[in-house]
Amino acid sequence: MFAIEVADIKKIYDKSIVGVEKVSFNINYGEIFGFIGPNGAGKSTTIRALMGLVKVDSGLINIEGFDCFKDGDKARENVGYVPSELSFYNSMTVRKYIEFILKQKGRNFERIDELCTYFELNQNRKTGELSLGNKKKLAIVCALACSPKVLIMDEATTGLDPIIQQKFFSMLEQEKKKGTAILLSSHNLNEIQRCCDRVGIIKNGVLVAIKEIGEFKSKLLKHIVFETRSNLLAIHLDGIEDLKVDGCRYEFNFNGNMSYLINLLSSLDLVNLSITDVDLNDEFLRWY
Amino acid sequence: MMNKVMKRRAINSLYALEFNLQKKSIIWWFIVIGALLIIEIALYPLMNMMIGAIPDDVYNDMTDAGLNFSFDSVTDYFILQGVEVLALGGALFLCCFVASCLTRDFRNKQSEFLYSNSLSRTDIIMTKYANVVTMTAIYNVVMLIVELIAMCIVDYKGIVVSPLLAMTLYCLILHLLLVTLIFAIYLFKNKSGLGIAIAVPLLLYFLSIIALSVSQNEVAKFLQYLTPFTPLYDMSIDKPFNVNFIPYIIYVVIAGVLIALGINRFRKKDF
Repeated sequence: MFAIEVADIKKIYDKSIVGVEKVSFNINYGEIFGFIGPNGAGKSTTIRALMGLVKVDSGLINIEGFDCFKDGDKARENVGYVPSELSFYNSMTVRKYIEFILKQKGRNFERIDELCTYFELNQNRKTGELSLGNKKKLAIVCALACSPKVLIMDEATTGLDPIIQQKFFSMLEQEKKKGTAILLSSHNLNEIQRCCDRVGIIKNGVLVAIKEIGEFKSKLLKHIVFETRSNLLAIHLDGIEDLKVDGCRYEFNFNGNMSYLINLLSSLDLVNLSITDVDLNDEFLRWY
Repeated sequence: MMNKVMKRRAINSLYALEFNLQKKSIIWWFIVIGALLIIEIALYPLMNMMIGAIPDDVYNDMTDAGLNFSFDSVTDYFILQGVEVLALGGALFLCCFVASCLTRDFRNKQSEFLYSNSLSRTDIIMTKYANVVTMTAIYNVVMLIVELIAMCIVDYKGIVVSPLLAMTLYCLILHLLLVTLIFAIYLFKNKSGLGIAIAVPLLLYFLSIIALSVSQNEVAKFLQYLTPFTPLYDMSIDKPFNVNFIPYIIYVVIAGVLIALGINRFRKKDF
């Protein structure tokens, strides 16, 4: 059984606005799945559907085998959630708020002190007095304090300083080792590439690609861009992908024999040349 | 699965939250309505003196015109004069309380946390309804205590318990019906303000005033069945429990149907 199972979900708002359509992915226990896409692409709709806040029009959407809407209370039982928009009961202290959320989850309070210390969160402050970064920390602590089997985080690192971000990713690694399934939505592609096992790219409500992060590391894919004065009719070389030609400018990804490529390039009258590692940024931009 | 003890704990914490969040507002409403009732009762000796000073022929003309000014005791006086503050003031307060309970989480986006935990939507909504019913009961009991204390100070010999209890009972029924009605209406809406919560009780109150003023007209008499305020005005000190219960029955049916539909709608809607 998958921790999270999403199959061909569709959600249309007000009979015409596409929230999501054709979104399918599964997340295993002990896996971190990155979810990327520009604003309005459908990330939050998918996440809110997982949390039972939005009902999908069709498709299957389960957490731990339970339908997220029909059996929402059972599906959410072992889920820690960090929403993108944060709002707390302002008159409550941090400690009282975490306790309230844990009571709603049916959990005890044993991890509160440990997590608040780890994320440097003052438990006695009123939630209404917190900065954006501290609000994020509070939401993260609430999500982690219930010892979840599934973590769903929408823009969890926005507003966090680099030190706390580092601590956050270390904590995610620990949770992953414990077997927690993690869905991490973010605009920060570097952090997705750093900590995720797989990544889903969503565009206009459609999940256009799911990539193993390992692919980027193992294929040693290079992004090549050059301009030449030579009259080059075509390039025939094994390992060239996604070739784009714009006048004298050539752009492609390359995972073939680098010596052959260098030989070919040295025979040309080059104006400029750039060779960089292909990363998630390039993959992401390819779709836009 | 969350066990029963854990679920009870979750529901209790949610139940307590609602009172804590509206603590200041509740205290202010209680102070204002309580103070108005005390002022009303404190004016009894003065009003009694003024009525006594009206010449008999003028007084007879006034009663012939349908204006009922006579009161034999502080209870009689309070039942005639205090009912508006108690019933309408309470209705406005309680309906605003309902609206706040149901809209605050969506307006402030706290719903993202509240509705993404282990309690089902039905559990949450029934807990909020329990809050509202408790608040309705607390309001009526507190105001009864305030009335009794004020009457004891002004004229303890004039206290007649059964009409006061009857009036409290009718107010309680009226308020329960109104809060259920408003609760049901707000289940259909997420982000509305207090407008409906203020407009509905006012509308029904004025309808009862119109129904009373045209009570001689047989055709217009049906208006009294359209508002749950009318039984309060039907009541007399001699036979406090002898009132027309039909408006209550009509509103029990309306509120019951609406709340069933509202809960069903709320369980399915997008947040």
